[in-house]
Amino acid sequence: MPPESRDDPAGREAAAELLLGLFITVFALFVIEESARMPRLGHLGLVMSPGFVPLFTGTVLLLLSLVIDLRAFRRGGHRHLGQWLGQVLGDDESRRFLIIVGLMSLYVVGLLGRIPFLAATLVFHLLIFIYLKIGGPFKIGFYTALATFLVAYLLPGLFEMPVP
Amino acid sequence: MDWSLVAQEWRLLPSVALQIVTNPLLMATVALGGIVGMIVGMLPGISAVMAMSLLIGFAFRVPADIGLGLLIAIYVGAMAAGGVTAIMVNIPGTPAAAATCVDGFPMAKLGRVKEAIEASFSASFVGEMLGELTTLLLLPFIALIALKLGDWEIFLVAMVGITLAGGLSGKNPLKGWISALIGLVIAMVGMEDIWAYPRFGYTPELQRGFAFVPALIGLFGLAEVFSVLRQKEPYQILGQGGWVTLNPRLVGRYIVTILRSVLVAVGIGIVPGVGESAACWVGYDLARRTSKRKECFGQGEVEGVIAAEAANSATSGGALIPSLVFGIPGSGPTALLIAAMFMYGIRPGPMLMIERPGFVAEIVLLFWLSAIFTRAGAILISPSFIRILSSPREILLPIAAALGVLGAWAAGFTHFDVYCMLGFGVFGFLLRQRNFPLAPMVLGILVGGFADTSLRRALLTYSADVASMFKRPIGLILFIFLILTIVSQIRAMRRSRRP
Repeated sequence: MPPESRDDPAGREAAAELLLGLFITVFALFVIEESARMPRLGHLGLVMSPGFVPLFTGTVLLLLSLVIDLRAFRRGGHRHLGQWLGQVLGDDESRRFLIIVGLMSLYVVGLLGRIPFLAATLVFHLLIFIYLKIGGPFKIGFYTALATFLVAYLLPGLFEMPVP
Repeated sequence: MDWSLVAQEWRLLPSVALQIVTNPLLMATVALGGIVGMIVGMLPGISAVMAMSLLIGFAFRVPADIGLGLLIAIYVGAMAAGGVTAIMVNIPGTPAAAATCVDGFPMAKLGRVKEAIEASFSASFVGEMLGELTTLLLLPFIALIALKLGDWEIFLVAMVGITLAGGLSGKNPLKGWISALIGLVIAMVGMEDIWAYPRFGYTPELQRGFAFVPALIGLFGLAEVFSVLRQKEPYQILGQGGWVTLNPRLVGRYIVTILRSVLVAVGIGIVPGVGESAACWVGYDLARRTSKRKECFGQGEVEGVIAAEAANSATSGGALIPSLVFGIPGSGPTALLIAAMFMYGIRPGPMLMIERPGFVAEIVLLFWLSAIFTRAGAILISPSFIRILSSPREILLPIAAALGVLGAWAAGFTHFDVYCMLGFGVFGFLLRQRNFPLAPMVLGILVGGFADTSLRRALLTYSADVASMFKRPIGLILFIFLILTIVSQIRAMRRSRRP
């Protein structure tokens, strides 16, 4: 049996580490590139440039992220990327996380500012309580109304603040 | 040196105390905050930093003393109550109560729940009071020395903080440092102080930069909501309802253990970014090593509970020192306190005692008052501990997430802040999954701006002779300390990787 087809938790860990490490490496490269393009102002050149500290920070970040990449690569992370992806897609906890992030995104990006805050908060709580199966329809309705009243009416009123 | 500054806060203590006790709104806020803190501290998955981060957006709608009083009371309440969950459920209510589980839960299994909770409350109360007293005594001296620091030294202090926080706050220093560096980069976004150049300013919102509050709500609040809600694990509660009180007899019997934990915890609290999560284990370990009943530790030894709880509560005292003197947070909750101070226009730093006489005394008094109200509240709500512990997280956490949205909105009334909060929440969750500690990132965000400005101002000041920067005695000591810290952490990392 080839090593990548065996269930290997350590290999999956290394694959996840490699992916995040590569993301940080790309981020560090972006920071370095952008910082290097910032103007050199004043008589001291680079050291007084607005890009000096980000450039230095990005460079150290790049070096440290390369250590993470290299270690994950040595542990065979690149060979287990497929296995890691399969495990993430099939994992119940990952699915719950993605759905909860989806509901939050719907609330924050899709509803806020487009419909009244009260209605947006009501829809968010209703959907998330249904998904989390907190109880029967009466319990869901009661807690949705209670949460919406607290978040969209009571607190903004108490602190006299405008709502999104 | 102006030695009158040292005694200033001690001298102002009685008058500030009088101002606080004659302000009924502040007293009520601290009492309410203590109860809220106790409830969130008891609920597994809802920590002090999460509750504080979710409420910080609202705090700036009220006067500074009320807002800071609320946040401090929540912090103190959560620290005190985290032990209850550790004892009755074997899950730390806050990360700071992790060491309490080791002996607290075995005590509960032996039917000694009441004794364990009383030991936890009593030790954490004494730890809190003594920890803040140490702050009040030490802080003015450190602040006086800090007044002698120039831009170069301020930059080095920030770097020492980031290096220590990165190296000590997680299991892997490499990940801690990466986290801190990402925080520094985030802090670089927006208009810089020297040339007013908009770094990474691709949109008008980015030219303004990332605000502290949405970032903190996302990293500490929302990331934790995601972590808890994705799991579906029920837990079992041990014990029965009943009254608990403080137990002076236990305090008297284990006073040496408490004092040792307090001293160690104050020292750990001073180290930026490490905080109470580490202090509880060090306090516990020291008690175990020095105890005559070593073999009983881990099997329900009350001294273990006392050592861990005294340590986690006393850490706040130490953590306040770098927070107030340098603006460098000693722990997650103090990072939030610093963010709140900035919101109120109070700039923590060496000049704080000169610009705002009595402020340090006020903060210490608010901690003491919170400790008193929290224990009074704990006694009152103790018959309901089981009911509180049974609160469904599936209902509370979505409400907390929506409160986070409202808090992030309140920070600047822009949709961008709310999007940032969501982005930081998802990013923080992903980093936590790979064991990247988030406290160093928050530290990086908080100190990045002034570290950058201090370094470039120092380079400008010493541009004619850069070597003279290393001739300044305090700067030289800090520079050597920074290098030694980095080298020792790298060596420790290498040693831990050897089989």
